[in-house]
Amino acid sequence: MIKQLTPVIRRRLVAARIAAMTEGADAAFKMLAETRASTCPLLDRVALGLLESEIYALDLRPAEARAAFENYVDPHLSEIDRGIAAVVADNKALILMSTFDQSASDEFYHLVDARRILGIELCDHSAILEAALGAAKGKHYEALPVYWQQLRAAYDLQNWRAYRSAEEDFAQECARLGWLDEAAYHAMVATSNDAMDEVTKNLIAARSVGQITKGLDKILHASSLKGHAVLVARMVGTIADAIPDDRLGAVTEFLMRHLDHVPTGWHDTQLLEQMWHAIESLAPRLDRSSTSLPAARGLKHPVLQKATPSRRHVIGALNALTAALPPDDLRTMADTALRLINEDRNDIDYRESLNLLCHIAHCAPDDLKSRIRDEVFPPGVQISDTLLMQAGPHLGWKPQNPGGFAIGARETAKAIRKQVQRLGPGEEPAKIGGYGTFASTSPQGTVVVHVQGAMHWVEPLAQHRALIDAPSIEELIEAMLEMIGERENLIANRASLTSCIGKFADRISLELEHRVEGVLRKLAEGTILEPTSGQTHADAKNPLNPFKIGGGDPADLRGAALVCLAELDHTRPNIRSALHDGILLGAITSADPQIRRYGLAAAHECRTLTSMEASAVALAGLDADPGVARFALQALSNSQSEIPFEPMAWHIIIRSVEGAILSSHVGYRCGAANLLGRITDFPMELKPRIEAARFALQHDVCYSVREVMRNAMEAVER
Amino acid sequence: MQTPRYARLAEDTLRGRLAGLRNAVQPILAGNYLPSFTDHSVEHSDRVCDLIDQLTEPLVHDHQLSDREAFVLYAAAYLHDAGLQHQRAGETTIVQSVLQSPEYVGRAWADLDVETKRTIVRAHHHHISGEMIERSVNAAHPVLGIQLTDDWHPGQIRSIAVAHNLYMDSHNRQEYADLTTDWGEFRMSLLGALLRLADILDESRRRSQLHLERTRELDLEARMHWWRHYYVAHVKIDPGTHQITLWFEFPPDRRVQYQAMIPPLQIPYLEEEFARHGAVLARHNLLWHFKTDEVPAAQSTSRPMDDELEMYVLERLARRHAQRADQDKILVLDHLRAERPTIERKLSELRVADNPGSATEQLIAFRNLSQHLFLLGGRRGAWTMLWGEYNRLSKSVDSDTKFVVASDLAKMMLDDSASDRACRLLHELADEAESLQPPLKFRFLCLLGQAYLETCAYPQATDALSKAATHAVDAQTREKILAELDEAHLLQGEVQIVVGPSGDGGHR
Repeated sequence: MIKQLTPVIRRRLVAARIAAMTEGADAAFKMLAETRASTCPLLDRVALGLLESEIYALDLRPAEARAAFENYVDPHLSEIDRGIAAVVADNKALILMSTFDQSASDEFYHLVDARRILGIELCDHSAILEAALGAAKGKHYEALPVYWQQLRAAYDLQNWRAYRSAEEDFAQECARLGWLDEAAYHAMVATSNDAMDEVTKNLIAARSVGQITKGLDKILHASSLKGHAVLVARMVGTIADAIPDDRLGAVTEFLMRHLDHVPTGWHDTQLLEQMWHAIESLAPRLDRSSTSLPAARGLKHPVLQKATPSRRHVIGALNALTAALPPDDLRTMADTALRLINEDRNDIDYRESLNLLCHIAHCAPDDLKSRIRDEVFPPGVQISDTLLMQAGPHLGWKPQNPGGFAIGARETAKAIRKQVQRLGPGEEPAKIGGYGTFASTSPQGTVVVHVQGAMHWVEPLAQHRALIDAPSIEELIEAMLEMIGERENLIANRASLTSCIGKFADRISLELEHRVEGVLRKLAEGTILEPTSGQTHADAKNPLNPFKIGGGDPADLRGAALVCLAELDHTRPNIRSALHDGILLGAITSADPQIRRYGLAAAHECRTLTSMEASAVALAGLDADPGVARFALQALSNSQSEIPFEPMAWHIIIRSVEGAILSSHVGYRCGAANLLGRITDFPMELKPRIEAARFALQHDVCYSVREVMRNAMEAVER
Repeated sequence: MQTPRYARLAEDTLRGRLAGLRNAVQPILAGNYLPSFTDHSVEHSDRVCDLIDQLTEPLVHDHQLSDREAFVLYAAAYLHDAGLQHQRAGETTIVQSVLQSPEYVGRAWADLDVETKRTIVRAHHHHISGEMIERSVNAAHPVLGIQLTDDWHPGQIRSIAVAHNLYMDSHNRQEYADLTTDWGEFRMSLLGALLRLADILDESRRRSQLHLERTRELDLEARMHWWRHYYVAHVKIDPGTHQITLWFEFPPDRRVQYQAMIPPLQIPYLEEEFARHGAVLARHNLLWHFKTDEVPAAQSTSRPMDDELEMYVLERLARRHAQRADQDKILVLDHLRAERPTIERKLSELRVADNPGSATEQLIAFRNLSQHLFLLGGRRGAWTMLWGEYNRLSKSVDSDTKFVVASDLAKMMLDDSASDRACRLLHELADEAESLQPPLKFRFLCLLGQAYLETCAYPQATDALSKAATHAVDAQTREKILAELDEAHLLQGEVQIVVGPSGDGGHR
């Protein structure tokens, strides 16, 4: 289509599009109106109307996009080339789809057929396949031109879907070539979350301040349209940790422009969510003066007054901003948070709202903390809300009836024993709370499994375990062990129960601990039988299985058992537990990286390790999987003060740290920073390497790594 | 209906014979053996006679039909569909031969069900008509109810009647030619054409009495024919302008839809039939043009088809269009294949060692041949051939010729999605192009810019196109190149570079 327009109109279309991207939609509309005022050929006028409609659509205003299309494009479709008409009419189907219009899919498929009949393809599929194959083989000299040609062809067609798809392909090719600033721009224009995620992943991995700066500069300048801003916010939210200090101002300014956005429908909720998610991610980077402004905007945000699913993103951001807020702002924040759990309560974000309130209380002066406590727990009012019970200790609440928790523990034990029920004919499943049930019927009867049944009670009981008498604790733990050992129970249930046992570690008697060990030992060794009914984990992960219904990963159960045993070990370091009879070592040296991670997490919990275990942990710092190596460094940073490492182990440790410094995995580098910040008693010959590594981590591209390093060193100095 | 005028027949004896023939066949044609057919009664034959009169009006005196030609033609008009009503067609030689075919072997006419009989009669009715004519010649008990004597020219009447339903495809083209070969005073080819054309033109609602459709069990195919006739309100033949106008009358509330449905159902049949006889008609200055028109909606009283029939009609049209599209592709391929031997011969001639022409002449000849092949659809073959010859000869030709051919070659490469080759070809000449004269240089730079652009060589592309813009011969051309440049900047994300068209408030 573009090639058939008069050249001056082609140039005006480019100029108007750029004006929309850099200055906003209104600047573009002004230009289009001026151009439309002068007479021009029919196809030119259609193209002008099409761009106006597209700008509205990109600015997340589908109703106006539709109106523009119907005013300027629709009336002329029957007068222009049939092929062009069938291609551009598809844009309206896209608008209709964005608003879930009933006619959208009929219109869309009608146009698919129309284009097929006319022999028109929106892209050259065979060329794209060739390019993809070329790119996969590293022949980017073949792939890049094809993706570029597709992009130009799609622009020529003026079909938005084809254009965005071509932009997405081009963005990914740029990302593969390491042209990350260009990749970011094209991912934004493609309005593709996938492409943008790929770009941000590469940007973080590249650890290049220059690349991130160039990328930000390129897209911040051209993201005035809301549809593009969503993508930029998404990127900011992901790379917040790596944004250079000198670009924080520009990024914050960009986010502030959109913070007041109130969604009008499904099509623009992403803008609110991504903007506030970005603020949440950026919050740790903001100083006190920069925090107040977005916090004030959040507190006044209209979505907080309504029970909308998306307001949890604002609440999450407010929570992240809380730590740096001055006391006066905290009081305003507390008022809002109290409203959110009372008159404006919404179940979807109740947990986040309570979390915010706890955070405010944590940061607040005593008088404010007391006020919060009194409002949340009015004197004389019985509390039955399990989430409030969990929040209680953070707000300084003391239960009025401590004995009630012992009763609760025994009732919970009874309920937990019903996680798996074998029902007779006509028998109904018990109501124990949870996320629903799985039922399987065989000639022997019906087995009903409650997903996370009764688990909502366990957390508050764990929080207030000190108030529960020993027999009640024992009854509760026995019930949990029974269901952990129940083969027909979901693996996910058994893993949750196992994790919860660890939370009672300091209330478990030695005798009970033996029984716990007896059940968990086999699980920690990896001897796990899955339920006889339903899909196995392998079935649920099978890529050829179209109906995946997973009941949990046995590796998670094994991991939970390992960590639980480590937590028990932590409470009684002087008694050698079964964990050190090769179970922990077996996990740390497992072929499965997931098990190695759990093993290292367990090692992190242990106060002491055997020399074999310590060496295995040190070696795990060199694990090929950075996610595993990270856990190893964390375990080392926890235990190094108590474990006398051999000189050889020190060499391994410093090599691990050097490996982490070169890794794109931020968590791995954080682990290295934490370890390096804490170690003091190292062989002197390693000092130059350790100093060099410290310097590298102090100047890491990611703020979190620098902060971990700083905090760890400060802790040592203290 | 009134008896036709038989305007081309002056002799009373012949008019009298014709009246007798009409009276004799009227009851036969009223037989309604094939109830699914639209009107095939004597009224249809009468209208065919009238249409013959109108179609022959432009014939100038010397070429006008003679009395005997006219008689043969009018008589054939009354007899061509007589076979359709022959309910004892099993007794005819033609049907007996059909029953010998593997499909019916071992089955007697009497054993066949009515539908099968009707199908056979429908398919062979022209031959049955011919046999009925033959059996009535000098017969004591003529099957037509009237004895045809030799002075009726029954052989010619039979030939024209049989020829009316031959499809003139490879299967029976020869039979048609044999039946319509001119001899003596009988211009059989013209007579054959006139009967077929008049027959096909009688496709209006006069032939489609829709109230009868309600009382008959008709399949969708038959109903479609009834209704397409129904929507033709009138066929107007204007001998003065050689124009045939089909007046359609559509239900007002479905006008737009039926405008796209019904004429495509009618017109192609007519045009194809007239095209078949193009040579004969041209010889007699009887070429006709078709036009469609529509009864004003305010005056229309026509009814819509039911949904089932409407869907059937649309499916039929879609099938027909798909077949035609396939045929068109095959035609292009056939043209290409037909031309290949010639091209190969010319290539061989150009490639012989003792070719008398200079290298420049040879290269230009190869270029011309390549462009010819390219236009016929042999795109890839065209530029690969020229590329080989260019590589062989370009060192021996003058600079201008080299650049002209290289540019033409690059254009073909670009048009055939081989921009990498075009880029390689032109890039090698870029330095040398600096010394070219403006028109050649401009074209070269445009192609070079386009080739760079296609291969994602953005800086080189913008450089070449910027230079091309300075050499543009007029403002419009320059603006076009600048538009390409602006779009390239936009697509590259270099949005700050774009300045927009001058003096119009473009983006700065």
